[in-house]
Amino acid sequence: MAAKTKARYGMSIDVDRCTGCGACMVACAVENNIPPAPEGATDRKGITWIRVYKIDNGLPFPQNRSAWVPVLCQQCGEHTPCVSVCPQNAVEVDKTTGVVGQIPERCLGCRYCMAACPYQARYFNWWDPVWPAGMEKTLNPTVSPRMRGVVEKCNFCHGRLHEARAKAAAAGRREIDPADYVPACVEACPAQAITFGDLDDRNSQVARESREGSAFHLLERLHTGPKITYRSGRPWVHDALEIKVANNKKEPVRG
Amino acid sequence: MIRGKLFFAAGLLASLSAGWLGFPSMLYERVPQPLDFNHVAHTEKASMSCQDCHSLKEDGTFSGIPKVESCAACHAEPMGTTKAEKLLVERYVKPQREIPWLVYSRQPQNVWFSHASHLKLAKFECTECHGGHGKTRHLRPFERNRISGYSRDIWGPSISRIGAGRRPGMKMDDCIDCHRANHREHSCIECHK
Amino acid sequence: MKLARRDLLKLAGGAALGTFFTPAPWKALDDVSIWTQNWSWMPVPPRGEATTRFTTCTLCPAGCPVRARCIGKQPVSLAGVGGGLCPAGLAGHHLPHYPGRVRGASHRGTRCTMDAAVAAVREVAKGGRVAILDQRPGRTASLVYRRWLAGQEGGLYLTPPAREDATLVALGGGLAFNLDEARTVVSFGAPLMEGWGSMARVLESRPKFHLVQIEARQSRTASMADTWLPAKPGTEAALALGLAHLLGSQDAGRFTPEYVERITGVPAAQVRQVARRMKDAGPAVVIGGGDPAGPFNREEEQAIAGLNLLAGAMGRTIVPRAEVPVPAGFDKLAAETALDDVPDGGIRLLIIDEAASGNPVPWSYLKRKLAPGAMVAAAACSLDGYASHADYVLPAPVYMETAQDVPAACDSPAATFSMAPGLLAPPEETIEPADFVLRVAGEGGTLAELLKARVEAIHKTRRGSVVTYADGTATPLAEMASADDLAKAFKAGARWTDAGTSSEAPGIAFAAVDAAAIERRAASAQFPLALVPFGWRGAAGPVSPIFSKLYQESRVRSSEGEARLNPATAREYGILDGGLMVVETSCGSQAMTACLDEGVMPGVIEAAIEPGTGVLEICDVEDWCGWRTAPARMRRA
Repeated sequence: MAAKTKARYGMSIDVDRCTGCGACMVACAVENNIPPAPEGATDRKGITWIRVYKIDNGLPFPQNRSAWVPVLCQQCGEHTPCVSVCPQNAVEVDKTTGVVGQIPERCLGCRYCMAACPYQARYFNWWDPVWPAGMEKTLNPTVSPRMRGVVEKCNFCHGRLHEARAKAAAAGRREIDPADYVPACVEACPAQAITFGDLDDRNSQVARESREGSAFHLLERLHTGPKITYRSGRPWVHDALEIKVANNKKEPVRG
Repeated sequence: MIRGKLFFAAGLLASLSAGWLGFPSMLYERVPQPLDFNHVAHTEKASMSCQDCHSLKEDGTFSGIPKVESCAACHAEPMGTTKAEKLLVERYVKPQREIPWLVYSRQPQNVWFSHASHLKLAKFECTECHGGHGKTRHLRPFERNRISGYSRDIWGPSISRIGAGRRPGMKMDDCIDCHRANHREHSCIECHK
Repeated sequence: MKLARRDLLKLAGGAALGTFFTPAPWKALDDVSIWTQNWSWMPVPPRGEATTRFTTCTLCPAGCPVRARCIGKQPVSLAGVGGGLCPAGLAGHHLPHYPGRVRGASHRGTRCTMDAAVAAVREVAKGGRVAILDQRPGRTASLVYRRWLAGQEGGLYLTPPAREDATLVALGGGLAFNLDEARTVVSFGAPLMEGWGSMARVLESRPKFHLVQIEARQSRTASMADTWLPAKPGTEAALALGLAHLLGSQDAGRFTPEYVERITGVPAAQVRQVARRMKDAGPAVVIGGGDPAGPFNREEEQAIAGLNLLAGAMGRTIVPRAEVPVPAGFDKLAAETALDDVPDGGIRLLIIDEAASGNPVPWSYLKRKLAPGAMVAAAACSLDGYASHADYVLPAPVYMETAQDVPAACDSPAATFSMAPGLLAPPEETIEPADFVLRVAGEGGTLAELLKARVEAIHKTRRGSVVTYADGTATPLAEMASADDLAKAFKAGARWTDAGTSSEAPGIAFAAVDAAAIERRAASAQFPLALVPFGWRGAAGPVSPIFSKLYQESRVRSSEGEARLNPATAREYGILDGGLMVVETSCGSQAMTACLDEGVMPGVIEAAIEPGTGVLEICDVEDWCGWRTAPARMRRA
């Protein structure tokens, strides 16, 4: 049997487990060499490849209850909005992994993709990346820092996939060991709210969880085929999250 | 009339020679390596194998050029009378300073290159990219591009990139040609980080 | 021959044409395009051999095992071992490069030598009434402080009041929580789901217990709790007495559920339900304390802790825990003194070990305890905390820069010991806070030597086992040939767990709860408007600049200067969402931005105390003991 080298990576996020601590956001920034915010950066201009939103059930005190939901690039599979608008071919879907890749070297910074992304999961480098003196020593060598003027977003910690592939190759295998490829946010989550793996492998935990009854995709009606699934036993979470994401304001066009 | 053609030809000739001969030598700055390393002496006299210094680790990373502590294992004291030998011991081994080698094949920061997959899966020989570097007695000077800062080896030895040089270049186009031919061209982020 | 203009044009034309047949323009274009990708100001990540090293996180009392991915010796990313890490832990390797780091010892803003600082502090120490505020009790450094203070006249060993083990201390000490056994957990504002004890252990036990959160704020723990009882701020202890009454306590006679409802605003039926659950769905455990925003006062803490006696927690969900062996020479140790017990103006020399972060105390509160002209020396890595008020600032190493020991968290039923080896070299002018105290004491030795002695003392017990972080293998300590082997294991990342917990329960003398005091306080807590501070564990100390992701680039954590209000309260005061407002207490005022949230209790202003502790300072109202809540006024700015 030929070794399996094709995968469709996806995530399943258990909203009921998320404590909203923000470990995923910090781990992501550390892993992907995302700089601390310069002065003047706000939640509309900042770079957070994964961002935790607070939602609530809309009821008055004391019936009010909150939940926290990490939202990252949904890695759309079918009608990938960002790919279709990019004039530069700087966004593409890798057929062997299903990951929507953003290539900063090709990006000309027009931000069409940011306007097109219904999940507001794309971020523009309004500033050159600056780390406090000495902190550049702590940068991750498997990810290259991006310069001002380009768009970036989550790529499922592709640097980790590179490393996992190299490790498999050293052993003469093309197929990676799933344990070697875990994105930083998944690894960091203290509540283990995020599961990651190959959706095509029906027996994987992520595939099983994505089929559960309480699982849903964000903005399903757009038919973008996201590879991130959310799960919650609380019925209000789905609607509150859709409203939150749809009303979120990023600054895609104005300077 | 002839006179005009002559001037035209002279201009043509001048720019052609400037472009083909003058430009390459001006573009590249020849920087000597910090030490003159002799590969042959190590493989033949000291009968070391390539893997003793340049090896693939289990985690898939490639060791690259060994650290000075590996040199110190044998060269705690000068093992000969050459100038390089004296320099090695005095300047690097004793103060335990890493030797600032200039790597001929250093790729840009945003490139992910895995020695493991090219050696173990694609079954490349080292020489296919690095030529006969392992059989040299002296290190050739590092030729640094004055504009981009990269080694001349990335572009390849032939300035026109036409015809087979001693070995192919290491530009993205060279990678893509081979990946295309082998149907291993999937996405940009497969090789970019 | 004369050159004509035409000839030159021909020459230029030929040259121009020729250029296109040379590689020069194309190659130059290519190189220039590459050059534009290599701006000199773009940082370049380090190159080098990738290695894996292990350590134990010292940033909070949880002491999580950490795997550090390093390039050469420099950690470039951190991860938990067999579990996640909190945001502070994940960015711990940034701290050595903290932008506001203290460099060099200083005396009121001017640089001085370490010798001068030692001499000056020693001189003042001779006069007695010396105190050390140890932000992280239970370490080997703490032993150093306690030993020295025991020999000083009026030596006071102080610990931060908002401790996670406040309940255990109130029950007599020498105890630990055992959440794994608990089926009902009643938490009085303890941030169980946000950062309390060991996050990994809490989350592991969480599916097994029903969590009742008693807290005015809808904290993350409250939203994730099975039952949330939002008692009015300042009346939590009355609710504890209400539960005590239902569990059969004689001391809480007046606190019927209906009476409690009147004071706390929590429906009587819910109080009954929780009491029933504690009785029927046990074992139960009651936890108070650990809220980074502030402690309960003594009476409140005793009422909360006392519930454990009534709920039968002792020996089941609260278990005695042995001490980690102590090397010889530490026979006489100063006892812990609660800050509350220190008379105002009772301290002449205050040394603060701020290097290990703890929950913050308002400076105004500490200041009241200082005698006029008292000296304050703070060992700190940044000027953000107490160091800004100190006479002498002693630059301390940060996490990963020196070897530290990590005591067991309050929810570890067994005694444990692990170490955080110094993965990086500290900057030259820093001094380990314990080493500073050793120098002041003139006792000689260093913390590093004492740690070695401590490891030897552990090795002598021949008890328990050592689990390595790298592969999780457990080796019985008895099989380790020498103390050096054990030290090596700790250095490589390992945790020693004592096998035998001391079976005898310590004699718990539980003072009768002062119900009258609680009633008085609860009655006076009926403010029309209450300011309730809140914070996150460890965030009072320096945090990585990458925390801008949480505070600035998203709204995961509200930063200082944001006041969260119920829309109804805001309407009453004419305040709009995002509008500027001023919050005033009897000891100061603070401008804030309003953030309306249905989840906030009407009549409450929730204000984050981090980063910075300005809010805490206006919460410290003298006639209202403690700073968990304060009567406030507010107006539109």
